[in-house]
Amino acid sequence: MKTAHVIHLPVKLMLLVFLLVISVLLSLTIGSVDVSITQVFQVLSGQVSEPLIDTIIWQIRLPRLITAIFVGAGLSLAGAVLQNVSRNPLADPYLFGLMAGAGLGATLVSIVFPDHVISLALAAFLGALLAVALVFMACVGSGFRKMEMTLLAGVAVSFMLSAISSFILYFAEPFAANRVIFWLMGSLSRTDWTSVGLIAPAVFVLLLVALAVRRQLDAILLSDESARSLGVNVQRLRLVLLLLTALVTACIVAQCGGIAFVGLMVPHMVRYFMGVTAVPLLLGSALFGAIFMLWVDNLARSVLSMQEVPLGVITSVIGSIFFLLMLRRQLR
Amino acid sequence: MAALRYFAHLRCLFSLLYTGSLYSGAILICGLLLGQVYAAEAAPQRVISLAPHITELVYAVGAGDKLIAVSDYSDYPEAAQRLPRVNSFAALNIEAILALKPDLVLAWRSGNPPHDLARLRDFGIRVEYSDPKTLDDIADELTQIGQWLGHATQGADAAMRTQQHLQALRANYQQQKSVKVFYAMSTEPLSTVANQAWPAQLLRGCGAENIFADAQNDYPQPQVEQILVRQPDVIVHASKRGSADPMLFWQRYPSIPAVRKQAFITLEPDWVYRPTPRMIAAMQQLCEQLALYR
Repeated sequence: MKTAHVIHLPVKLMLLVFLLVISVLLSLTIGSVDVSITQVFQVLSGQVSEPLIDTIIWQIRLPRLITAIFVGAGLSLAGAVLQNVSRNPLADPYLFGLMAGAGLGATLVSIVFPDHVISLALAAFLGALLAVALVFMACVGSGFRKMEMTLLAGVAVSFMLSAISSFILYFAEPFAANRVIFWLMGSLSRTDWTSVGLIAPAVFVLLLVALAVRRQLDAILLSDESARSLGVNVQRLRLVLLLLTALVTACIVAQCGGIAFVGLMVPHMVRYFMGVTAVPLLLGSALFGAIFMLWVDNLARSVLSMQEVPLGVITSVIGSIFFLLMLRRQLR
Repeated sequence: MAALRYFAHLRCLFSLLYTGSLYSGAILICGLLLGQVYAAEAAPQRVISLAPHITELVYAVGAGDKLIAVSDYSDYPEAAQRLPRVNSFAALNIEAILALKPDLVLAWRSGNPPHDLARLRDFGIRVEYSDPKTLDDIADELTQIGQWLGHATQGADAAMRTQQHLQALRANYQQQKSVKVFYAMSTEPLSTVANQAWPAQLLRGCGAENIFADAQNDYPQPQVEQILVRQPDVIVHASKRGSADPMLFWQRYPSIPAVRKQAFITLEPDWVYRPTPRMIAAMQQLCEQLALYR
């Protein structure tokens, strides 16, 4: 059984990579301007093409698709790592009230200081860091031995910061308030090559670090005691990974707002299809998360003819139905 | 002698100045004429409006045929409904806008997402902004949009008519006996207007007393108790036809004078929230109906 699993893993990963490439090529043809797959190949290979198509592929669709890939991969990875280090199946990237913090930053900068002293992305990033800092300040004494306390602190910080945002939104000019609320539901429409440059390195670092400590991650899955008896410095590992995932999530949230569900559910789906140990879980989550986000964004761009549906809405609807079906099969 | 020579010099200087001014005058006139011709040639021909009120204003200056796409909810005049839609309040469809190759995009500074507009400018598209805040701004917007679209005369005419209409209403109604009004933007949740909200400006223009004029923000959500205490003489609604009858909501509070007298006024919401000449027409309706309860 075990050997069968080992043999299958590279095949499964290759299949996911293949699916990802196909998805990218197909996604490049989707949008309000008709672009055929031949035109996509022409533009990508640098052959002479219509300047409009060239702009649409290189400046609008490609940066957005690549951002989607890294957002999906990053959120799923962060979720997988957090679920393992906290041994809590409900852990997700927004664990430390990150979303509420980013929301507060976005609200402040677009409503209280609309003259753009700093950009919305930077404000959201700082807000997310504030939330993480508050949680860490509350829990630093415990040395993160009791993960459930950290989770609860995250919930408390989340409520506190979103209450402040709601209060500001209540007095806001209605259009600015609408925009903040829409932003909170998640969208990739603001992304360009800068977003790729900000998100991609962070996601790569998280993936490499998590792969480097794959044995320790597997050990922590058993219990803190057994990990310690295997020579793992549980507290330090936990602290480093918590901080790293928080940073990656903050980068993503700052660019794209809140994208619910992906970080929570994709790791569980991957465990079901690929296995629970660190290597298949991490690689599988990154690839599956990327493909999932790509198609969710395609839907967001094309369901309504001239408008975009917030990403968080689609991720939650598709993901939850899929997850419930999977759960039913597993329980039977 | 010296004086004579001085005088001759002076005359020389004057004649120089005189011919000089003649020439420069001629050059100036030529330049102006050329500028006019050039302006008429350079006037944008493919225009996109990113807000319903801008669409209306473009038609009001007679340049509706230059519009190639409009925003969501650009439903007036009817001709605008046949144009493609390229944005909602939340986002612009940048791909669609680029594909239409506009030579001017008219944006709404407080209603359109600034990040998306910045991207449009990065793609080399000319973006001009409309951002009316007061009733008097409507005329200025008409003038400005007329100039941008090469319809300066029509724009100025429309602006003058609108401004005269507004002034006439103010002159007529602001001196009349005050009347206490509650403006019900909606009843669920109960919300009203104050300060710079358009209906609040209309009420001030009609010389009515908004019972929540002292509120902090533009769209406060009062409690029913406060309305019972403040005793409005008239309740004004602006709701779409076909929605639940807001009058029924008030019948359980007979202690409000407006309810006792059944003094309800219903306005067309599109008219009172879009800063266009129709808003002044709505103001006339409001003033006339309020006059019945003064």
